[in-house]
Amino acid sequence: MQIFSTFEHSIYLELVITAIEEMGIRSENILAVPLINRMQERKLLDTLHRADGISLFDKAAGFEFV
Amino acid sequence: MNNYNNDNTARRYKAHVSLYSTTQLHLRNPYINAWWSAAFPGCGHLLLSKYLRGYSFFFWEIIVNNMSHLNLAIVYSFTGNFQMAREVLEPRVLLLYLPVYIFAIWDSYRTTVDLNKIFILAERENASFNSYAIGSVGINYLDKRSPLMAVLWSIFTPGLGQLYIHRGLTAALMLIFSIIFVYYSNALIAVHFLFLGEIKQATASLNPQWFLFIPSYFSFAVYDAYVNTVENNKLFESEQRKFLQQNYQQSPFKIPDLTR
Repeated sequence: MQIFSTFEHSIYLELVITAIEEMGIRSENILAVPLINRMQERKLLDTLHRADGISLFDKAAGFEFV
Repeated sequence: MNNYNNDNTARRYKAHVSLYSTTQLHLRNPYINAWWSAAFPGCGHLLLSKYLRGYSFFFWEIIVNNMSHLNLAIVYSFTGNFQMAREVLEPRVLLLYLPVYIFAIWDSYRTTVDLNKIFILAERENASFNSYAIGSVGINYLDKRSPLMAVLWSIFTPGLGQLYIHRGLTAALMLIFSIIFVYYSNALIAVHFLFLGEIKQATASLNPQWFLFIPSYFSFAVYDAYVNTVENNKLFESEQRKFLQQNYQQSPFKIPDLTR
């Protein structure tokens, strides 16, 4: 039997993996493949996952007190 | 106790998680950092986690600005009272302000450019770094945290957003100066009068010399907490990605063909 699943990166992911290891599945039988966006476009707004000092938030924060 | 002992085999490390703070390199816009140094000397360096320089410029700004009454002169000149501005400035220290102010801006710009290059190299090298610390004074670890909560707490009290992400050295500075700025500027007394509808009394109760520190200091605390929460999250992802690749990609891994 095989189980496929996708996860966001978080501590929960490691909780899941160690839980199935405790159920007796050996680590050689677990494959984890990080999904990486190879091409990322410049965006106007930062998200949880990225901030580059160029987005609107940086300028807005800079002008906030002017 | 750390989960990784630095054996100095890597040329550059991109982060270090210690009991006192999480320090990391990431890409930054040099103009934005230069701008924060212009807003409040020291802040551009605090963003870069260059705490000694950041603290020095921060204290320097407060001492020399207060001795020269620069903030007061800014308020007078912005309201058209140029004669008053001229009278209130203290010539004994005023010119001391200029070189250090401009140096802080210039230096945070050039350091940002340098650290961006070093970050790119460290990211390519992708060396293991300490990502967990436990000891007698506490625990620090990488985790996903919400940038929105970092912003909200920083708005309530500058420094709380930094505490949330365990950015200890900036948190201490922000929290201590929350008290000092609020106390000497009478900002909360003004808020009190505003609630009572006494706008004139609110304005009159403010101490402009101290109050003018607050806008840039406050926006900086929000910005620093937000950006570093996002970057800490990215660091967590990158560290976890490396961990998964090293531990859960045993070769050869075969996925049996279930269609047969």
